Amino acid sequence: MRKGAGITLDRKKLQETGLTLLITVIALLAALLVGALVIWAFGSNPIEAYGALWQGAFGTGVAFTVTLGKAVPVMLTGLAVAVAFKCSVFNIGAEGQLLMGAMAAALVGAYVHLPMALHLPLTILASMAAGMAWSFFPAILKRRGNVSVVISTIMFNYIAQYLVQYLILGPFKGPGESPATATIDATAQLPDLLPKPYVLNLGFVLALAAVAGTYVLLNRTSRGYEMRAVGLNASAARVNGIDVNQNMFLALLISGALAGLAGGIEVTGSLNKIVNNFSANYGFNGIPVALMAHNNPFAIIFTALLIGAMRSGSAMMQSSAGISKNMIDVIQGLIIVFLCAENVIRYYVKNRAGGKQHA
Amino acid sequence: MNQPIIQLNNITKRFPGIVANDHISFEVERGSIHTLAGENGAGKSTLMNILYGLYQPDEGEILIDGRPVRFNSSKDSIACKIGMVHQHFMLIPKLTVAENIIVGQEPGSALKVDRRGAEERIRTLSETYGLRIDPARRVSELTVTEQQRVEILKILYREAEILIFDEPTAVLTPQEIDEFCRILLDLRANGKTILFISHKMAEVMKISDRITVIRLGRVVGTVEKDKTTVPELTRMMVGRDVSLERRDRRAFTGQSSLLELKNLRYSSAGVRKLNDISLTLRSGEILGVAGVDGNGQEELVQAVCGLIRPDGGQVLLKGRDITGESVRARKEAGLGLVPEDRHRDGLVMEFSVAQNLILGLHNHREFAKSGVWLDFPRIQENAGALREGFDIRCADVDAAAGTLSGGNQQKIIIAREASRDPDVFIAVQPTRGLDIGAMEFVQKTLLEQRDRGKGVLLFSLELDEILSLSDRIAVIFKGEIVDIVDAAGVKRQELGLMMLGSRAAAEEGREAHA
Repeated sequence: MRKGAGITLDRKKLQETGLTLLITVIALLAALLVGALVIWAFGSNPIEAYGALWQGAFGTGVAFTVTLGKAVPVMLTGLAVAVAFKCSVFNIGAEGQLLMGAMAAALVGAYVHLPMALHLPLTILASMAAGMAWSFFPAILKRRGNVSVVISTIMFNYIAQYLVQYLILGPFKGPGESPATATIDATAQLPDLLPKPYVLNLGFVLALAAVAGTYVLLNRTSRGYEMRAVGLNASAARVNGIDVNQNMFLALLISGALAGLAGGIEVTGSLNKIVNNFSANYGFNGIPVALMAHNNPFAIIFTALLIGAMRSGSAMMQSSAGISKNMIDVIQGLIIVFLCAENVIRYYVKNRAGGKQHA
Repeated sequence: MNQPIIQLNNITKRFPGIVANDHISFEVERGSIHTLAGENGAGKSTLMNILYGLYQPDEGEILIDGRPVRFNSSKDSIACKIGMVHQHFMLIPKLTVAENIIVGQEPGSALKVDRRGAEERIRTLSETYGLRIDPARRVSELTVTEQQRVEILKILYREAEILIFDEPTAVLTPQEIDEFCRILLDLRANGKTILFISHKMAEVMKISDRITVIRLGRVVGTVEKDKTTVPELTRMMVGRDVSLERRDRRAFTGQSSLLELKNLRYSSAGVRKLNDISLTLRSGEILGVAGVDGNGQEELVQAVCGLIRPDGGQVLLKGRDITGESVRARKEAGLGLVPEDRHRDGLVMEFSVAQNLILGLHNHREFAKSGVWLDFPRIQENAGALREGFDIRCADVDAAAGTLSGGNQQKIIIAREASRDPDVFIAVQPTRGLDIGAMEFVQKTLLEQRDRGKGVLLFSLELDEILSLSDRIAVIFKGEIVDIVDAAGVKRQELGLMMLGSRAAAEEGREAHA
């Protein structure tokens, strides 16, 4: 028996995958190079800076676990963006969905009291439900009124941001001076995978499971087949009896649930409560994570790790090389710019390869 | 003067798995119309892309005016005064004709484009060759034929002496093809050399001076037009005798009605597209719908398939009212559709052949366990069987559908729809752009459906196709059915008149047969 259509790779496909990988690496290196120029222009030594970044991200076992932990939320928001994108839905609202997921987890974690076997799953599920609920509004607006998902999800980010701020300053302000919710019960906290001082919790495993689940959904189920068909050719999908709007609706809900899960894991895994501005743009960073991975769930593991590494290494870069943490945002922006120039890079790579053939 | 303008010597091009061009040699005389004929996938387009510099040959040489040349890109071939009109136009809709033509080599200084000068030159060219194009108009306002003429102007503007046309008539209606042939003859009269790629025998015989036939990447032969016949050319192309004629019409005797349309009405943006359409498709018949393009055929198909909601009227499938049902429900109830635009509506190009063969069937228990989990072994099995049964030529059923030739793409759709075993088979322009071999196959499939007691609703702009396949013919004009006639007795001319809305002609025709 032959292998399934989904996993058979012929040579051409492999070449194409290799080329895509090469382009991503080139874009990455170009971004680091330009970033180096910027660092140098500000009077610092780029080699030292990148050295510190590397040390901070991978230098020690503990640092590595921090990197893995930082990768978790962007892995999930990256997945969220990718799964919607596969169905031609541009979910820019992962940030808001993440915030709402986090809020739900913080509330269920702090105000519901149950044994861990029930409390923890309930908390996690609540975060997914809240993320999904937050994406439901843009989804229903799209389905009923054909409202642009890009616009509505952006708007819902703002609503979520201020709503969460209001909730942690007002009705659900926990004990103490700082604007934060009450600490969640120990029964709602994700267990650590490794003993202290390592900082890795079960959230990492959940994120990997979400990656596998998304892959299975997209590539192994008839629903995923429909969603991909809609993403690739909505017209042909429609003519062949696939409900395009229903699939887009569903894709956005799944996307919201994944983003909500990211928020839930942040709360149950590391923060244990919501503090003001706790999300370091995890939702928005899902976009480059998905972009770099070409929406491939497994590739997202690696692109999320890259972003995670930069996040965890930037502290070291700031303290030992004296370069602002914000430099990481600059480099991240550059990566996106160079990735968007994919076709330009592809052109040069192919032309060079072509030139060699004729030489 | 006897020097051929183009000489191809032993051109060979290999792609992984196939030899697209296998030692191809022929010569083209200056100032002639030379046709390159062959089935889809025979290697015509590859050869032309080599001549145009888009591909480089693995072996062999090209001589232009007796001098060997080497084209590394289309720039090189343009420098040798070769121009190409591609099957799919490469125009920017938002720009004017003149802007489209000068784009990339704008005349004038770096700061100011000499628009006026360019327009003047284009106007002169347009007049010289009878192209009738106003350079100031926007491309988005032009019809398909006009766009094609802009493409021709574009290469004339670049002073091409050799014009390559890659299946230029695939997108044209019969009347437009006549007009196009006239333009080619005008171009020849002005001394241009034309390389014309086609597999439509009528036009090949009409305008060619010489014809080179290739099959499976090899030259079968080059013949003078005056010394050959359509059957001979067809035999050269296909490798066997082919007949698209069919006169074994069966008399049907009141079989049950499969599809019934009652007073369908539909308007869009204030324009009435369907006006009180009533039709009955019976089992065991092919009902052809003839009409000039844009007279409501598209809307009729959409209304039957559930892609638009009619303003009034009913669609009955085997007696059941399906007017309000979804596309999926209709297809499950026994409707099969071969859509007009296979790229847009028929296939997901990035999906594999196997995946396309289950589009719309993907959640059936047959291919998805419990309707959820795709059953890859079954999907592959299905693909293997249909590939064989419908002669879908592809390297592998896991190859993307987009990598197949047009004829084989169409076979994927036909195979998929036939595998649903529908009671009503709706085929819209099913042979458009196909070569003879594929065309014959598609028509054979439709006839088989009919012979198995199914109903076929055939939409075609090709009158010949309607005449040779249909048992009855409905003529549609401005959203109305002018008349429904028995195909056995009707004459081409009568149909032609009815297609222009003449009910009188219809009446006369019927009286004559009564």
